Amino acid sequence: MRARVLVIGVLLVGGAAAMAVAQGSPRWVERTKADVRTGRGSFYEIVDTVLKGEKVDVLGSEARWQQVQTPRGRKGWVFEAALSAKAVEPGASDFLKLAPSDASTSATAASAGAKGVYAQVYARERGYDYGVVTFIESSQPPASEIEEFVRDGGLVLPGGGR
Amino acid sequence: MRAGARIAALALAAGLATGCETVAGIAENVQIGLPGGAGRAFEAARLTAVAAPKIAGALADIEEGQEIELGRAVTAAVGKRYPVRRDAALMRYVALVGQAVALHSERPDIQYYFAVLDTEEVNAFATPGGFVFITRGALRLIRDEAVLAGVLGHEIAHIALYHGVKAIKAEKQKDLAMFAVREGVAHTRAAAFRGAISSTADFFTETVILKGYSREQEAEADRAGARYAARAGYDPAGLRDFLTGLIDRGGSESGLQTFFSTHPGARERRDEQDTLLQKEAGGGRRNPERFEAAMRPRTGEARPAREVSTPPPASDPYAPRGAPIPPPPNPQPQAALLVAADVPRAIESAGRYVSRRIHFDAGSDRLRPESLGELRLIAEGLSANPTLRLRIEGHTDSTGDAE
Repeated sequence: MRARVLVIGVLLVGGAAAMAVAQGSPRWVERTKADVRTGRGSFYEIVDTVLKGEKVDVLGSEARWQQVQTPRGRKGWVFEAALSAKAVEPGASDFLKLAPSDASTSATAASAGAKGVYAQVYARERGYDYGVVTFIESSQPPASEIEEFVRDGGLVLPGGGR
Repeated sequence: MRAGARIAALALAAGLATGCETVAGIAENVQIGLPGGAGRAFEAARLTAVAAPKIAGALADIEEGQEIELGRAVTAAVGKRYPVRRDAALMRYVALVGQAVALHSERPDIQYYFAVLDTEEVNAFATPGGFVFITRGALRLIRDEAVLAGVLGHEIAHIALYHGVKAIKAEKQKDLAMFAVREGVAHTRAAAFRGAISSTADFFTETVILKGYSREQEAEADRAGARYAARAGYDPAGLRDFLTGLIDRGGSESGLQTFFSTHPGARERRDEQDTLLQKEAGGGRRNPERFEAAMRPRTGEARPAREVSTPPPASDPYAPRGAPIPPPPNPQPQAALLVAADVPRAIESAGRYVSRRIHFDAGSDRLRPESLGELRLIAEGLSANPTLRLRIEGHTDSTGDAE
């Protein structure tokens, strides 16, 4: 019993130290766009989408994910590979690198709704059933179910949490 | 450079260069805490020190959004060649295992999608941008969650390590790349993008999905896949066990030809996994009960398959006005993953049928309830073939006393 308490104590101190280092430091988005999510995984809900050059404030970090506050005041997690510690200037043509559906509308709207437009046209031209893609995309488990599955199966979340 | 990889991977498959020059010499790395040291040997065997952001930079001429859109197009093409199994419960289980593994890849930030193809062929593959497929034939050969995790981990690695994107670049399919630097007004860009998606999706489906990745990429995906599975808490031996199962069955068995043609060098791959596993501490979860429960709903207690209808596309600006909504595709007849006829078939082709699904309580002759479905299936298969002469063997583990 004593050993368990000790281990937890060490973990908490370690976590607090990591948070303290990262806290408040600015980061700049170096990808064309990056999704900010409610949790550390691609299956969590998107709370905001940040674009190249935008500055975010880091609130904490864990297992390759940074918890940030976006310029619009939203808080969530971004994968560290999308962020740079140095200021990033968006190039004049950067927005052109987004898929056209993204460039023609706001980034958030693009990530929410306009996806699949080009693949749908392709499927129609070739006589393929795009319903297959829709079925697959809509049949994936939600984040809560994945977390439960990891826990029940004795598996490990990034950062070692169970 | 990377002599080890060359020895292990033998030769490159014809026609597909790996584009590995884009990652050579990248030493900076994404450091990940390894729970309990799991996957350490696989970690050490990471011959291409992969830094996902650096690769992403090197491949900047195919943007992530384009890659994902391409993945959707290839998925539609795959759906034409193989029926997608419309069994939401089974798909969900495969996706849960896949998501648990993908969290530990170099690219946990793109959305992964998992689906089961309703074919006896033994195969698994991945499109760029996040779609992973496994066939019913492959699931039938799998015995527990760790094996499934290893196989899915291998496919996730193809996506996380940009193997599809590299294959496209290696084939000088520059349409998407050219599009990325093209400037112009939105509607001509949209037309160019549509054209690029179409030609690249055709290329990818014909070349990579149907013929496979290069041997070097397969070897790299093995190491990475086993590593992700180990980090996720699974027994890292899962992928090795899958390869061993395939080798034991041999390439003559129907359904396996496709696997061996798209995944050459199974023996070399198994041997490399063996070597790496010898340096592993072992351990990790296998979760056979959970796997069993998800795979065999139709052979034991019948569990109703949830019916899922395909909703029409949310928005389709190219649809002609007043066009009727296409009817949902015909539901495929859903065969059980393992059918009774498999038992005599295995006895005839391989000389034996090995079941790891019949269990007793430790130190007891009492059968565990999860064994009943398997026994029923074997009984059914054997009673339909009364001429077979058999010897039945059983083995125990080291748990319990020797009496």
